[in-house]
Amino acid sequence: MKPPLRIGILVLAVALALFMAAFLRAYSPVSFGATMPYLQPDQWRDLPPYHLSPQNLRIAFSTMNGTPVNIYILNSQEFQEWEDTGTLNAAISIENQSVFIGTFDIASRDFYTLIAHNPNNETEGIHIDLTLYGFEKDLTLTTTIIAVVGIVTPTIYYISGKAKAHSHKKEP
Amino acid sequence: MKYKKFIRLIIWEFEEFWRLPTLELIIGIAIFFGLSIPAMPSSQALSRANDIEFTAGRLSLFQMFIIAVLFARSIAGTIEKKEILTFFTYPVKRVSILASKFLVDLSIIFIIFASVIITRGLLAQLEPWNILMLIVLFILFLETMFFSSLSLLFSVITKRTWASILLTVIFFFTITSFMPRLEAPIKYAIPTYSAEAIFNCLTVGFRDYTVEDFTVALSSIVIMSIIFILASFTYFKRMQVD
Repeated sequence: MKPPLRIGILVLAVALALFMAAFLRAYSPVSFGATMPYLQPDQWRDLPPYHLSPQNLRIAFSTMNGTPVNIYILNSQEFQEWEDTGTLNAAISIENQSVFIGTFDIASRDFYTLIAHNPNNETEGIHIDLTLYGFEKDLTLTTTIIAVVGIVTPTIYYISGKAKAHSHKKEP
Repeated sequence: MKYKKFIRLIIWEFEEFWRLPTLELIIGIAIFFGLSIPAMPSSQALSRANDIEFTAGRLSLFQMFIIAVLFARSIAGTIEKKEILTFFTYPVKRVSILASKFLVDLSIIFIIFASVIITRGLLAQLEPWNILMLIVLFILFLETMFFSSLSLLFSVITKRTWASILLTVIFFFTITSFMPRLEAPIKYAIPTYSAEAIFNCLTVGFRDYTVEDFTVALSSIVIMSIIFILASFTYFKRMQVD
């Protein structure tokens, strides 16, 4: 077997295995959560950061006394900005909600910090559940690029071989 | 000159791997079992490294089986089919023939499994040069070395492909089921338990394991590998091929 074809098959096998792994990861949701009791009036509280992959993030939360709160999720850069300047520029913002269920897109693989804010005049508690699911965008893109390389390498070799053979035939 | 002949032997051995579908199968199994389970989204580097070490531990069963098959095919199979006699006509020492096969098989297995572990590390934002990743890779190398030396010994002694595979697998399962019943630190003398002990001691210190546990875990895997390799080479040098 010609080396370019052999390399193409090997690269395609890698892409296929990666795709199968990405598929299984997509359908194995990762769930985690936190409870923040006794959130004082106008208090801001952040949780230790989570390392999130670029998937769908399902957020479900409810407050213990039923008063609305604000939830923000910031990536590492946004959190740094929040700490340094106090400017809140969150990747995900959910404001004035006492019960919420929604799905968001995580843009890139990074460390994300969840910040809760109690805008009320009384103490409130929050229970929040987070679920990561779906295809990881960067892994899927890498798999696609590898698959394309696996297809293109032997194809270019095949076409150039054909072209050479054709030009040799034309020569008298 | 001798060096060039040794390189030729290595190239011949690699050509065996290059045949369809050996590499594809190994890479496929390694990627599928190494990357298919997502990690918990912890921000702690140690937790993420622990997940990677756990993945390496889960992979070790497949790794052991692949190593057993490869060594049996490459060494026991060559002796069984008398192809080794062709190698013996090549003007090199017998030791060089076995060394080339051992080095190529060990390197390829390690490179493939290490690549999967590194990929899992990158997905968890742990760079390959991160000290935690280096510890995981060091443990993976020790495990690969142990399984390879064990398979090498059984391949040389049995001279039969299937006998070599079966003996390696039976030996591994016997020690895996028997050793945990023993008291510490003796039970850390087998790779699955020693890997966990070495990782724990090198990352968090001697909190959960004693210095004695660590010494037994590290030295047993290294000493057993060296003994298996020396025994294999000594036997191979004097071996008669019927």
